[in-house]
Amino acid sequence: MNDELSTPLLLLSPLALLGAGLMLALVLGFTLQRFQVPKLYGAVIAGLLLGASGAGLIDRPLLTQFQELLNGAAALVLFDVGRKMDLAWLLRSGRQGKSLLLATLTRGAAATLVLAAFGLPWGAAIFIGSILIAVNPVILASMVADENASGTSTFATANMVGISNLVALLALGVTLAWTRSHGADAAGTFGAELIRQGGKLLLGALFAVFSYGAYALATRLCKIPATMRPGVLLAALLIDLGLCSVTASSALLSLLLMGVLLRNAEKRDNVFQAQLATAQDIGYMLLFLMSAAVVDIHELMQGWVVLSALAVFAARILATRLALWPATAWSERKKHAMALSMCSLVSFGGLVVDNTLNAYTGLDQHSTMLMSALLSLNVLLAPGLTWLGLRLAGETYRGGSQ
Amino acid sequence: MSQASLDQQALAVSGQGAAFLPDFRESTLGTMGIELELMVLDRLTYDLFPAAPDILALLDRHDKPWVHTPEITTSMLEVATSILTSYDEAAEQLEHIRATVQRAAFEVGASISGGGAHPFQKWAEQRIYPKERYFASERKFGYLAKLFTVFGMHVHIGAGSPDEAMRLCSWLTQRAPLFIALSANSPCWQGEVSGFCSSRSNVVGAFPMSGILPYEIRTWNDFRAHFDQLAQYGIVNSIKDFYWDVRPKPEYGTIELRVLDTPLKPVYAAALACYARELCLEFADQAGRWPSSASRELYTWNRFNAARDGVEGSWIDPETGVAMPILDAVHADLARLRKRSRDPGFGKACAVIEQLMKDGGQARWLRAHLEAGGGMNDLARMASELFDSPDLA
Repeated sequence: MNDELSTPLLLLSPLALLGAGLMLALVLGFTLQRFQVPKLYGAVIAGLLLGASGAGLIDRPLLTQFQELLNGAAALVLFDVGRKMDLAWLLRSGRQGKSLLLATLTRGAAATLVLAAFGLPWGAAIFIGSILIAVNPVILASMVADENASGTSTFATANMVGISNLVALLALGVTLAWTRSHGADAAGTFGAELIRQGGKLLLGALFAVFSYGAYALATRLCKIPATMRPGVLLAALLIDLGLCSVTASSALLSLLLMGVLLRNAEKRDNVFQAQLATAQDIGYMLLFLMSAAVVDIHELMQGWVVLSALAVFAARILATRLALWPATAWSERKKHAMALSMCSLVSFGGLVVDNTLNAYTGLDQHSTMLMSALLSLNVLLAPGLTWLGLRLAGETYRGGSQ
Repeated sequence: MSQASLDQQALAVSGQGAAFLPDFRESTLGTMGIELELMVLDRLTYDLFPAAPDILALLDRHDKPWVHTPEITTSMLEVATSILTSYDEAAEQLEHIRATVQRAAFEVGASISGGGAHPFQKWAEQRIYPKERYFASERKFGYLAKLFTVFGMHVHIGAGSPDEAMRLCSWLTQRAPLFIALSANSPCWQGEVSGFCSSRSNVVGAFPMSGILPYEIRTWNDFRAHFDQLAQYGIVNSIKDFYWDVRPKPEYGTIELRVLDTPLKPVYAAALACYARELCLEFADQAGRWPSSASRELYTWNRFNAARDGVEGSWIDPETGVAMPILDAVHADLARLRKRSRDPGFGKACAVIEQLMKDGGQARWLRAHLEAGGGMNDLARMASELFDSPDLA
């Protein structure tokens, strides 16, 4: 024992601090659940207490120590998103699949217009708008798991998360190239930057195909029974992540595509697909970290920032709801529910895994503040609205008698 | 049935009104109707998926000769044909049902499958369909209500008159185990290989009113007296409280064979229904004759063997006491019935059943996939793909 240490050992170890934070989040979550409040808010409150808004014990500098771990976790979440994308249904369900794609596009467009209306330069509005296309998979998947939600709108929402993240990744490639070639720290032409961003995505896609091919070959060569395949899949995912890491290609797109391939090209793997719960398992931790590092209550105190962020939230929900109008398979109530469930958004760091964590530094101060406020509201509001949406759809279940 | 009787019946069924048994409606002997309880599956995991309310809402928009109804849990739905008179008509309408339900399910992101029991669903995770009648069942039967998430095929056969219905019930009951064997396709239960070809058959036995028509009931009035007595005890409230393997269905003027696992392919349903119908027509031609055996134990033994071994099982003929392979009993029935049938399509029905037996039954097909290394999810997926593909053999 070191008698000279006056600081508790817990505070010296970032890992122990994270562990303690997670424990607090769980204790709070289970307590809240007894009062019919979503368990996920335990993670939010714990983050607020220990993070930038509270004691300041967990902040961005601390989290950078776990960057690789967090990047891997984010990529695995996207793998889970891809695994839930049912391409056959999306392509052949007619109005349903089309309305989800339409909702994806209108959500981004609506967010862009509102941001521009609140005075952001068009370039920044389009850039942030392209990020706001995506629905946050961590919040949705965690809430679905917590509330034991299952049903047609939950299925559609899971597909929407996949489409939105895929479209956002592609759109962000273009807007990022534009922003980087026209910002204050512009280093090259738009064309060159576009090739660079496109190359990252393309390489990520190629690694996905390669890793999936390795997986398919390994399982077929050895005729591995379906129950024994998770180990082979883990190896393939590690290959994919590793290749993306050393080449700086898009690990998120790559893992998302791995999920899509596993779901749609493989059929005999369902046996373990049913047992995978990647996003749910790590979602609680990620939300806790988001709450700790991203939410700064003081930033939200500025009236115009909150007002614009709330307007963007509302516009995204409204745009999603309007785009679902042509669909025929869901009742009006379920459409309202889906629009609410898909209100959450992702950060820049949730689409581009690099060292910037959650913020992109190339934006003007006004835009940066607004994006920051959006992310704070996302942590504070989105779990609740998602929960409300799932409840409204009538697809949550607590077990036992009705 | 008058509107007043219908209302009384509905209240009795939901447990909210007094016990009620309607008069037996006259019907045309030998007409038939087929009810299928179908599984609603998740397209990723192929576990049961609580999407029946959404699928039923889509089916409401279709103008069609058949009907669709909810079932006790939200991962089940039931479809019922109109009144049918031949194999070809049955096969055609079942194919229409298959295609329409499959399309509606796909629209909401679900899959449909036949089969008597889902291979790995957990009964505790099932959700009671939000309707008072089903909540009443849950209050009455406790966990048995969710355990009853099994999928059967019911065949209605026009009985002509009420008394004849009781006689036909009695005769058809004797042969019910043969239908258990022919339809058996639920070799797994709650994620385990059960050792039975039809695991579903064992679930029904947990209900207090399961079993068979008592041998001493010979007329409709006998049955009414039996009903009244049980109603007086508070045991039954409507005909739906009788979970017998074969029971009368007074409002339709039919008897109802209830022992079959929902076949994996609709064409099997058409063929097996026609087999049951032809048996009833044969019994009907033997006016006034009743089965000679009253042994419930013999029936239960035959039922057990059929559920365990499927078409490879044995059956003791209650009339002769002679044990024989189920295959032989069915072959003999089909050969005899084919000669007397007036249904031009019955030959096709026989061919379907013969092929089914030659393949070892549906349960053997499913077991072969498990033995080849397939998992339970994969089994459910393949059953669903079988339902997806049109078949008018």
